Formats: sequence, C-alpha cells, structure tokens
Amino acid sequence: MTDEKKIILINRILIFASILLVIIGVWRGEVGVVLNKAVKVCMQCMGIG
Amino acid sequence: MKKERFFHKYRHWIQAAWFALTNGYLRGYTSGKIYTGNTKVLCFPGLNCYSCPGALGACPIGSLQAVFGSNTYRVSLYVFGVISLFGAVMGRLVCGFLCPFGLVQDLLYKIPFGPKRKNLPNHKILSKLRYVILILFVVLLSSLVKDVTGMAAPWFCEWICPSGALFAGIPLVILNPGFRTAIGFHFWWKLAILLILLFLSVVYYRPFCKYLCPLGALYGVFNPVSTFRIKVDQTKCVKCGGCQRACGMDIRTFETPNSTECIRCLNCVSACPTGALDTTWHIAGKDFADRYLAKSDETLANPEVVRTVILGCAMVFSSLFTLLLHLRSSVYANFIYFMTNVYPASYSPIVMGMNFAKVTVTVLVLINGISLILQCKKADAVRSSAQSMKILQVIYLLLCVGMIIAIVLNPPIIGVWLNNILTSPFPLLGMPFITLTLSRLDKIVHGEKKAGIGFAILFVFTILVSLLIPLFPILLGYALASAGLTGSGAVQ
Ligand code: SF4
Ligand code: SF4
Ligand code: SF4
Repeated sequence: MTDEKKIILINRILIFASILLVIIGVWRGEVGVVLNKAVKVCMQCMGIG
Repeated sequence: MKKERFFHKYRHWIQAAWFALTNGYLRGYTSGKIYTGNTKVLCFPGLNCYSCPGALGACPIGSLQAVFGSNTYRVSLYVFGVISLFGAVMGRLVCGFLCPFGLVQDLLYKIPFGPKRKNLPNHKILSKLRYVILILFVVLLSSLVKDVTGMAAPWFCEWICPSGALFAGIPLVILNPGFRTAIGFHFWWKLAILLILLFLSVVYYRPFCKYLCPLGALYGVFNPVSTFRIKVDQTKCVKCGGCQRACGMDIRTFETPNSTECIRCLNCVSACPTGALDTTWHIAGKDFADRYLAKSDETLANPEVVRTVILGCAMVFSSLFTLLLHLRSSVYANFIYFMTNVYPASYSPIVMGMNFAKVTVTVLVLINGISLILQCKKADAVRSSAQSMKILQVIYLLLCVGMIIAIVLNPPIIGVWLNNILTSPFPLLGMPFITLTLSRLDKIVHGEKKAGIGFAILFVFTILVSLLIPLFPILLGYALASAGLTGSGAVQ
C-alpha cells in the first residue's frame, strides 16, 4: 500500500469513527449537557465566575 | 507568475462572513443577553465562545469541559466526535478560515506598527505549551477537581481563554449592567491575558494559536491525515524557501507541508513561484472538472444530451422543492427531537422513520439529478442513473408498508396525513411522480414520445397541484367565514 493510500484509509476510518462517537454521544444524552451549558451565560468564560 | 487562488485572496472575507453567520443573533448585541435556541446543541468548529451575545452555536472546547465537569458523564463522546470529525475533514483549515479569534489576530498583525516578527524567543519550547494547556486545563483539571455537587469548573475558560474575554466578557459587561457589579479578580486577570495577547499579535504572528490554543493543538494532530492536505510536487519545487518566507507560522512547507502547526492559510500555495504547492481539495476539484464538465468549445447539439440535462434539472428542481417543504416538518423537527431527547406526545418512531426515508429518497433524487447534468455527455450516464433509481422504488414500497403499519397501530394518524396533504402535498404527491417517471429515464432520454409526453404531463400536474392545494384550506376558511361559520379547528 502506498503512503497516499494509507493516509486515505486512516482518514476514512477516522471519519467513520467520529460519526460513530457523535451518534453514541447523542444517544447517551450528552447534548443535553452541552445545550444546558451553552444557553446560560457562562460566568467563567466572561471572567466573573 | 501564478494566479492567486480565490480562497487565499478572499480569506479574511470568508473568516468575517463565517463569524457574522455563526454569531448572527443580533438582538443579543442590543439586549446584552445570549441566544438560547436549539442550535446551541451544535458545536461550531472554531474557538467561538458560546456566551458571545450573538453566538448561535457552542464552543467545542467549552463543551468538552462542560461534559467533563458534569456530574453525569466522565467523557464527552459527542464533543470528541465532533472535534475529530472537523479535524478529519478539514484539519487546521478551521484555524485558517473558520475561527473568530484567528481572524482577530490576523487583522492585528496587519497593523503597520513596529517590527514584524514571526516567532517569540524560545519558539520551539513555547509551542509545546498548547499541549500542556490541553492536557492540564481542558482535560485533567476540568474533569478531576470537582466541588461538593460533583461538578468541575471549566478551567481553560476560567483562567485562560482570551476568546471568551473578548467575545463574551467585554460585550456582556458593557451591555448588561447586572454583570458589571459582579466583576472581580477573574475578570481583570482574563482581561490582562487578552490585552497582552492582543498587543503581542501586532508584532508576532498569531501568538495565541502558536503557543496556547488547545483547540488548534487538537486539530493540528489531524493535519497529516485530514482530507484537506497540502501537496508538494517535487518535480517542480526548486527549494527556494519562498513558501517558508510567506508563512506566518514559519513552516518549511516544502519539507513538512502537513505540519501540525500549519493553520492552512494558503499563503505558501500562492507564494510558490513554480506552482509546486497545491491542496488535495483543489486537485480533486480539478480532476472532477476534467472528468465531467464540458469544455467551452464543446457543444450540446446532441438531442439525447439536451434531454438528459432537462431531466436532470427536473429532478434537481423537484427534489429541492420537496426538501424545502419537508425541511421544517420532518428534517428540522426530527433532528431537534433526536438531539435534545425531548419528544412531543404525537411522536411516533414509525412516522419518523418514514420521514427519514422520504428525505433519503429526495436526497438520492437530488444527487442523481446533479450527476445526470454533470455527466450528460457520457453514453451510459442515463442507464446507470436509471438503475440507481430502481432503489427508489424499493424505498417507496417500504414507505407504503410503513404507512399501513402506522395506520394499523394508530388510526388517527390518517387525519394528520390528510392535513399534511392539504398543507404540503408535494412530498406525498410528488413521491409517486418521482418514482414512476425516473424508472423510465432510458425511454425518455432516447426520445420515446409516449414516455416524454407522460413525463411532461405528470411533472406539470404535480407542480400545479402542489402549488394550488395549499390554497384550498385558505379558500375554504374564507368560504366558511363568509358563511358565518368560523371553522376554527377544522381549518388551519
Ligand atoms: S489555534 Fe485556536 S484560536 Fe487559533 S485559529 Fe485555531 S482554533 Fe482558533
Ligand atoms: S516556494 Fe515552491 S519552489 Fe520554493 S521551496 Fe517552496 S514549494 Fe519549493
Ligand atoms: S505552511 Fe502554508 S498554509 Fe500552512 S501556515 Fe504556512 S503559509 Fe499557511
């Protein structure tokens, strides 16, 4: 296998694995935590927490 | 002299447009409150603070720490997945094009003040600092130092992030008097870090990206294996070092084109005097154009080619139309239910599955329509497309079975669907049209009159019906109202 082909293979595996991670994460309900954090003003981000 | 590439030439405009698009909640900038809509479940690629008054999405580093620090989860598969997806597709192209804090530093460096340098002293050692920050502040401290409630603070946001201070802290403190009273040590600390970095950025190129940013450190790991890479044509390269001189990150592009430090600004690609540098995306685009697009001196005199293009346009048009009508009702709604895990009482998995199938069919038609137009001159384009369209018939058959099952399980659903037909008929009426005609692609393109006329009649009929039917309830409402019967509930 050439280097180029190896890179493409690794890339496709990474993309596939990332999509899988996202799906599992959504399924576990992590997005709720993200949404909850994102819709409130984050005092630490602002620097007053 | 090589022509400067579009994306390089307009890079700052693209960065600014992306910032405007993803921070477009204008009311936030007047009211001093942040956006609280559903799109905030999505992480945007750049270091874009979610407490910026205009932000429509979440910051990946902030989200990562939020999940690490929550009392329900230890690691965030979702946020890691999103970051590695961005990384695997774009690598640090995000830094070059889609990060607001990158843009700020780029613009500051343009100020013609003082000497311009690339690196701080001890560059090699300092550039490892971003990994330390990533591991220590983002991962370890934010997941291990928990308070009595089992929650941990987002340490990077709290002690370092200048993007938060600039895009969230300063505007909110100015706009919202409530926050002004709460200012304390943290605020001044972060303001000091921000100011130091902003001043440094005038003299040194992107100091935060080079030495401190944990997000850039993460994306950098993907640079050598992402779909976007820089390639050096060794037969053209004369090792003049022009690329390194043009590079703000001081990378020897001709030796390490996919260095973890490269922010994909494309300065080097434009600067190379021999055109030895190119990007994988540009190469793929060129290959595609060579294979499929007509050259300007070729004509489309062949009637089969013309018919193929017309058919392709009809497919693109009808599927876009269907998608638009479907967007709110199924794509967006289902997506949000799915992402937020909150389902309305009327929710039914079968209906959701069917909506999904309908959207899949429509997207397939869209893709096939586009590929028909692009491949119009290839003799077997129509045949292969017709074959791939056969799958539509299978999906449509499954849809019918699904409908029957849904009705058996939940008879009142018929009422909902009737209402759907009244309000957005195209998906229901358009689907049979699409499946019927597309299986006859061959015949239409080869000029069989009957098939062509049948196609034209069906197409016009479907479009007319879809445009007219939405008017029915309105007309019915008028009729009822003028007859003195306010049909509330019956007509929506
Ligand atoms: S290194 Fe960080 S701050 Fe710089 S452009 Fe990339 S994500 Fe943005
Ligand atoms: S500028 Fe072009 S020719 Fe010169 S060293 Fe870099 S890649 Fe090679
Ligand atoms: S190597 Fe090229 S694309 Fe990468 S940072 Fe340097 S000039 Fe920009």
